[in-house]
Amino acid sequence: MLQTFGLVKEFKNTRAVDGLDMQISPGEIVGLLGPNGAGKTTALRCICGILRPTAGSIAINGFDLVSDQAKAKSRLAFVPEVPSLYELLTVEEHLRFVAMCFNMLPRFDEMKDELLQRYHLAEKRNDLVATLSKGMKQKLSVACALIHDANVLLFDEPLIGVDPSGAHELKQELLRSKANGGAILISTHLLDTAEKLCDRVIILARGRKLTEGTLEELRQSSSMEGGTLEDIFLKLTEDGAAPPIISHL
Amino acid sequence: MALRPLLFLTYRCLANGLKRSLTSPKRLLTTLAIISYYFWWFVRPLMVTNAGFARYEGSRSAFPPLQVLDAVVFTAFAALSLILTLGLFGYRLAFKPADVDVLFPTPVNPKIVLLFRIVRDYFGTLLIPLFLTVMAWKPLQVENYFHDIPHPQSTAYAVRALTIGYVLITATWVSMGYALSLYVNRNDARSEFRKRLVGWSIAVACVIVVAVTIRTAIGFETMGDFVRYVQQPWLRAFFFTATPATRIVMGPLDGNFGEMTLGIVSLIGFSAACLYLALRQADWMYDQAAVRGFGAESMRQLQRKGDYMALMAESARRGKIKARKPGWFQRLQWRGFWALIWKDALIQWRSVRGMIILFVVVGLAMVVMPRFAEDSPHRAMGYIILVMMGFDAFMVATLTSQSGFTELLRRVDLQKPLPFGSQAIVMSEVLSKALPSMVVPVLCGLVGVVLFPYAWPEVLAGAIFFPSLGAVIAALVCCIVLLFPEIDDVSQRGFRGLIMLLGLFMAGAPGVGLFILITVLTKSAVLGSIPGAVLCYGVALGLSAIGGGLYANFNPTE
Repeated sequence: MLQTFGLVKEFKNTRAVDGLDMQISPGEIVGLLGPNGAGKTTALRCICGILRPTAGSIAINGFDLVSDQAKAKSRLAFVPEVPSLYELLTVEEHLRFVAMCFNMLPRFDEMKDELLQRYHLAEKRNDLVATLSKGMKQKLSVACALIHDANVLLFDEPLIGVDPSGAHELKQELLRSKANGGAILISTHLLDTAEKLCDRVIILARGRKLTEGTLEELRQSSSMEGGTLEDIFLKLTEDGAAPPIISHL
Repeated sequence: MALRPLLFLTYRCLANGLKRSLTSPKRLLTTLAIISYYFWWFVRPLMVTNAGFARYEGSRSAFPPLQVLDAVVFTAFAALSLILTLGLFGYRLAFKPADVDVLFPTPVNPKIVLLFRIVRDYFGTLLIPLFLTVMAWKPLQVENYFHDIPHPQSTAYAVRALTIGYVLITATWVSMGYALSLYVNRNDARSEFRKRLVGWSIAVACVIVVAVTIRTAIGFETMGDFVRYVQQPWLRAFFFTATPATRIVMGPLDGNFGEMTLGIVSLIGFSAACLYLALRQADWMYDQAAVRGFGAESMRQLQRKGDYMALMAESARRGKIKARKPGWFQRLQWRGFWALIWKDALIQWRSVRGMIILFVVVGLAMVVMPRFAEDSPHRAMGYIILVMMGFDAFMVATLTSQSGFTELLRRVDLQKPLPFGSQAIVMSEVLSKALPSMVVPVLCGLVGVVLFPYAWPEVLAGAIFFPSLGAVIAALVCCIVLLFPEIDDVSQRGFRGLIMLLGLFMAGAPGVGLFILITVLTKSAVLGSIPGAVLCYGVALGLSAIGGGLYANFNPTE
């Protein structure tokens, strides 16, 4: 459902993502972990078509993201870490705009009330986005991702800045999408959440994939029987993969 | 179909922005003030009848020879082309963070997004002169002046054709800018090489042409030499957009509508070709917008807002401003209220240091200048220095205040929990913003005393009075910023600028007036400066108290 082959993204003198191969199947939640500057956000931004890969390819639902962009994106959703939204649109207009982009207006008209209710946005539907709190903006951002029946969902630090009930709802939403056959990729620093929520994790450092697998597979490969994801993560990222600043310290 | 969401977005943002500007009396008032301002200056003059032109029939003059006019118009368009060349790589793809996060991951075709953006942002702007031309589409009767041409009655159309030429030539350069920007700014290994190659090629070509032109122009003896030089084919070819634009303007004058049409078609053709090249590279647009355009847009937004401190912070984030090794000032251990002054002085030194040094240089130059007017009587010399100190103090105070108080609004969450009252915080802000305006003129005055020892009374008067004027300016700007605190609101920003002058006059006039009055009565600037300074400090204190009240009630989330 989501595949990357040798994905590379270079900025002038930096290789932010270096030959990333991954595959996410339907009904699977995969966690993308790594220290700061590991290339998680860059990888997500490449996968959702914001950044153009320097090399490699990305296929979503079988469509190549570069050569068949419209089809590849048609069932893709991206929720950024800090949602930047159109502040001068109202909540409903914002959702409507996204629905128009995905050519999903009839579906939106059918589901908008339920969607607004589910994310506690019904009362705010005619308020400008500029007036929403950070948490409400996060909810709106998630609601935008669910308008078009996406089956590949990318979340960049989705639980940061969300209140406990919001976090709970979001987790439920992720599980619902998973049950409906969605392929979900979550970039996160919250290792305990990743441990509970994700079927598999990919650990990146300096743009490269250090390891990949279920918790049990990671335990075996790192020879840490009974270790938590945090233990494994720290061991792997400290073994020469830490950013230079940490090595210095 | 793909245009629908983009049109919806633009329309709703415009409509909601307009609606929002009418939601509160304060916003309504500021919007009306801005509209009235623009109406008064730009629209009203166009509505005034221009029948007055007819009254000048007696002063008819011969039209300049057409070749001369052609040369002048071509030169003007060539100069415009050179200016537009300077900004050729500056067509940063102006996307908002919301575009990157919301629009880009959708299946909307990037070509449509690019085309829409060019049309909306740039061509829309270019239509403003066209709109003004339409508004002024009345007969200007300039033929009354210029009768010695083949078609005197078409003279007025040449003025309109000039606007059309301007619109088309600028449109061509905008499309060219987008096409080149997308080409050279790609985020790949060869992007720097491409940028240097294209940039240097254009720069070298322009420098050679300008140098040859200047060298040739030095030898011009008659107007004929100028006309002959400008008509050279290589020059016409080099300025390939100025040539058709010139034909557009000259068409109504020499009656050659074939060439005029060809000029229009050529420029439209150039624009279309460049637009095609830009659209072919549309796939690179999102990448550049996310990486570069994001920063460029934020810088542009900050420049538009006049948010100088945020601009400096953005530069620091990009590594352009660096903290140096701790000096004596950083090692000072000021406590309590004075820590606030210390913090602000450090921030100001890092952000507006260059401009403060510039004003010191300007102030010193102004003080040294009277040295060359040795015939002036001694007393007048003292007053000249006094005026110059005042000018310098005013400029420095205006600069530091206008650039710094937005930071007071932005750091409210950080500063309010500190163990100080709102009054103390505002007082510290006012004092630290006024500090450079207290130091700079005194420094310049001291140099003045060294150069003109007999001018010491006036320099002393300046050193007493102008720091107090700096405090008034800082306190007033602080109040205005707190009264209209929305940095993002265009109407509030405009209104702030409009009332600043009026406020400066009202707040500064009593102290300045008293200073002048007592100086005139007693013939001693020192005697005049003391009550003037006391009054100014009083006004500054009063304004700071008002500012403290406003700050206490200021809630950034409202």
